[in-house]
Amino acid sequence: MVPMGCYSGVDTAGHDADAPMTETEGADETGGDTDDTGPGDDTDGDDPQPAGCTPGDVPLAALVRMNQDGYVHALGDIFGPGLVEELEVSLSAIPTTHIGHFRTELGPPSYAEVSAQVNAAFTVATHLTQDEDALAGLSSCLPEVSAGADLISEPCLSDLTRDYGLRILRRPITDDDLERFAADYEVGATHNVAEGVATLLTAMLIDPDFLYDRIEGEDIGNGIIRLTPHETAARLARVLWNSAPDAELLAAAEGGLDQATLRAEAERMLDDPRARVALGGFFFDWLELESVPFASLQTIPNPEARTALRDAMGDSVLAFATATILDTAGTYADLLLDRTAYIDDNNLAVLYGVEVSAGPVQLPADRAGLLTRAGYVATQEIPDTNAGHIIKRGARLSAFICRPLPLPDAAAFPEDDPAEPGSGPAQGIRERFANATSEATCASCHVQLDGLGAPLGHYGDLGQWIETETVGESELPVDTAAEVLLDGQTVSVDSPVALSEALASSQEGPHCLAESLARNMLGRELGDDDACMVKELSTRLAGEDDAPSSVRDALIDFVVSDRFRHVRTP
Amino acid sequence: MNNPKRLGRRSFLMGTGGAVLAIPTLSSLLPTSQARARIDDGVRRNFVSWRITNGMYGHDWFPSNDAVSGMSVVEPNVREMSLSDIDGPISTLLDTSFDPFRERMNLLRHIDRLDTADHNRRTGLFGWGNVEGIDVGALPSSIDNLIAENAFVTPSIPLSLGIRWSETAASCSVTTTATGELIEQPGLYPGQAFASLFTDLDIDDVEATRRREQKRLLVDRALEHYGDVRNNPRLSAADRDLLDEHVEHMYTLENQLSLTAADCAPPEDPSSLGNAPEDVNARAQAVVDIAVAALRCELTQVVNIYLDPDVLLTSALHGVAGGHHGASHNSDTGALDSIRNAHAWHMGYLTDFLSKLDVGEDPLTGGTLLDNSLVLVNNEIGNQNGQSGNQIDDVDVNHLALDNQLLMIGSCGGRLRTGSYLDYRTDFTRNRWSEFIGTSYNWVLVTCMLAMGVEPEAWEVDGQAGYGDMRGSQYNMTPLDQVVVGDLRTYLPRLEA
Repeated sequence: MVPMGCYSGVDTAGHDADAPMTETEGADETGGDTDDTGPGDDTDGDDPQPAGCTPGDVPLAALVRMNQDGYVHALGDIFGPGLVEELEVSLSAIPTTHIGHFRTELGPPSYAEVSAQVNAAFTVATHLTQDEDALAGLSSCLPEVSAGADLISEPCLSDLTRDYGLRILRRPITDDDLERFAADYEVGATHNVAEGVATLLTAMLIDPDFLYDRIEGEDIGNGIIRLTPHETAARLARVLWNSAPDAELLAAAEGGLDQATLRAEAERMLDDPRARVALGGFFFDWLELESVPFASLQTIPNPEARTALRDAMGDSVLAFATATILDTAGTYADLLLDRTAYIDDNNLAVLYGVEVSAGPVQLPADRAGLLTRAGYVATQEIPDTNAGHIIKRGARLSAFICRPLPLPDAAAFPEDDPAEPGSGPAQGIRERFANATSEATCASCHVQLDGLGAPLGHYGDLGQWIETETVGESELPVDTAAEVLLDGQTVSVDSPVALSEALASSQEGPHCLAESLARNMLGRELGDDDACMVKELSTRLAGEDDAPSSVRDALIDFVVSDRFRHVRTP
Repeated sequence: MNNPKRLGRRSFLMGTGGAVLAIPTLSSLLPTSQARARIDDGVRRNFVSWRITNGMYGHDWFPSNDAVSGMSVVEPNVREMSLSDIDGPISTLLDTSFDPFRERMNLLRHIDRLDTADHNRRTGLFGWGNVEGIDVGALPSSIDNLIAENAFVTPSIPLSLGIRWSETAASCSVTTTATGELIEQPGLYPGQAFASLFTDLDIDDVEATRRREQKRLLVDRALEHYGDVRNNPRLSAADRDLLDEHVEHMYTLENQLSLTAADCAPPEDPSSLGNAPEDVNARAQAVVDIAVAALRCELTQVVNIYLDPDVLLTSALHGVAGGHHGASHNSDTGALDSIRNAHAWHMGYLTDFLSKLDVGEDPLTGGTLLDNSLVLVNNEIGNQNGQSGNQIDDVDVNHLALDNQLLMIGSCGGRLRTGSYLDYRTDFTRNRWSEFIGTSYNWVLVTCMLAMGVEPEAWEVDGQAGYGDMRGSQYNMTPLDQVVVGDLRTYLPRLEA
């Protein structure tokens, strides 16, 4: 929901964002058994409670709906990437319905989504059983059966159901399941075996246990449920890959998935390309890269080149973010300060003043990490000026530190849009907005937006470096000096790099990353019960007395901790 | 808000002691003839919202003052003139291509909404009210959803179609959750809509029919399992609500799969169209053709169309910086031309859509599919001319929803009077912005719902008359007691047949 007022020092989980965090230890790295009796018992490791957290602060068990990306990834992982490529049109027809900031935050399913999923399931299953070769690829017992045969043996059907049931439903198949899916097989098998297998697979692909992560778990007392090894594996695959567990992870789950194994699996999974895709999705949403604009016709006349530049602007941000976390074990500060970039588009290279390269390049000193990249700072072109939109940048940065501001009251809009140079001739965009929003009702938020957006003023509308702001025929100096409220303190900054440095050394910045990661993982807005989870992650990312942890290590420590495996009964 | 005259599917499913006993056979209780039954007078009616955005200029949209000088006061606060009595084109935008529909449409004037005129709120179909004492979250869904849920024996599914370059197409369809949260329903790209509606629709193919039945059986069986899962004690009430939504949609799908559509043909498959701005015309045409086919094939009775003109007016296409929205905030000649061009572009597709619906002959009404429909052209922002209302030399570039762009086409199966230019201004004036204070926008929405057969209890909250707040509370220059809100449960004057 839209917050009702400007920043009051309280984060969205209802905790004082300015309060200093206290020391906490890292999670256990020595492994341990899995049969603890509650989060307070601490028998399988040394999962400490961050200050202010109590053992009862455990999120409620909740269904998590598979999003569209996860659906496609899971199909690719279960049946092979070739299937996804061949059926791309059908699979892309499943509409996106996320309602929150992150694509994992889904509202109730729409009819269009449910019908598209059923159609996709049917299409996938039909494709997988289209001929004898396809059938033979599904199971070792099927090569002996021609597609038009009217019978397969009961053991073959049972094996097929157990095998694909485990992969699709992400849990072992029960006797009840066997009976139920045998009946689904019969729906098609009345025609022939191929259709029987198709209806069996279709039934699995529209099963709630495929489309939702559902927790049965093990009751360990005090109203706490511990995820089963298979549920843990499913959650791990969703969080790290936005997909289903692969064979190795399922085998580990079959073996009980003790903490050492879980850590090894998490390490392996973060080394896998699928982690890059999932993490890229997170950053795409967090940094609002959907808003990367096209260059104007005047700047780049060629439509393909315009599209290529837009893609490169976004992709370059994602490549940097994922490489920093997954390849170089970077910290939150590295995300904000590292000048490494990956640039494969000539127009983007020109924009940055570097050469196109197959590998990493270093950006000029007027750039730093995420907040200084063209894909992040570019705003829609404004007529008659080269300036970027200071307020849109301010709003984006507000979200980046988890201090979203309320939508403006449209009735209070000035007659002339201050973004337009015509609204204040011979004034820069900052001055125009300052004049237009000086009344108290506007100023309370706009002062903050101005403070966050102003330091980026040397980046033009497309994110290019500009020395002066062109307003019609005039060239005006760019005023980037601003005061920003961070960790309850006012910090003076006068450049994008200085702003990045201030955020990098803050606690509020890493806290927002932790909050965003948790929100992305849980697929919903956070509540009070999630505060400890966020704080634990945040403490690792920010470091306190210790050096900050790399984002990668913090993630791994988190997924092997009890915080990841415990939920509260409804 | 639920219509008490009909037992909801959810109530049916969950009212059996938790067991989903009846699902496998319920579809057989709703044979094709009943599922497609026509309510009351037996006429199958359709509702279509054609959304334009960013406001319009009265000097392009409305007839000139001279053209409607013959208007007469027919009721307090209502002036009327037959559209056929306007010489030449109705207006610059409602040109001669609208002549075939003149007698079958109504052009409304001085309809005001006084709440927050916000692009982001998709307000065109929503009774938004920003009023002290009224919890916005308690308001019901947008009228397309209310109509889809409450107007037909078998609830329909709104088809929201859109084009946009970004990841999610937009629509103006808004639903509310049980907790009062507003959810803007996504629009479907043409390719998504085609795949959702027409992939299996091959009515002459015996094999395809057999596979449809197979799919229906699987959905039927899956529904039973969803019921079992729903009753698992590990699930919270919120989780149960989530699964209930899923079950409802699967149940509707099962019904859809049991239908045999007639007199319809699938549109051309648009899945090869890209999302590049340059494909905008092909995608717009695909939206029109899909909407027409969906209505002709009786796959839905509620359609939302939103051809986002920020795609149309990108610099890539027309050299206009800032897109349609940017141009709409600009009053120079180039921007005015661009806005006019954008609206003319819409009108081209609108008349194509209307023509393609203007087919068939209903034996009950003698009317065409269009005649049996109500097409509402709407816009979340109003007339951007200044006080004069429609003078080209008085461009105000405001951001208000006063004197809105509203055109109603079709008689909704004989329930609406048509053929009029209806000016709902009062005698009260403002100091600036639209000269005359007008009549409540929400009354138009109420009129649409009534014409479609929705009863007031479907949209009223806690028994309070009105759909949302009928006045709004914004814009201090409009004294609220001077706004005409009607008696909240009837048609706008002069519209009921």
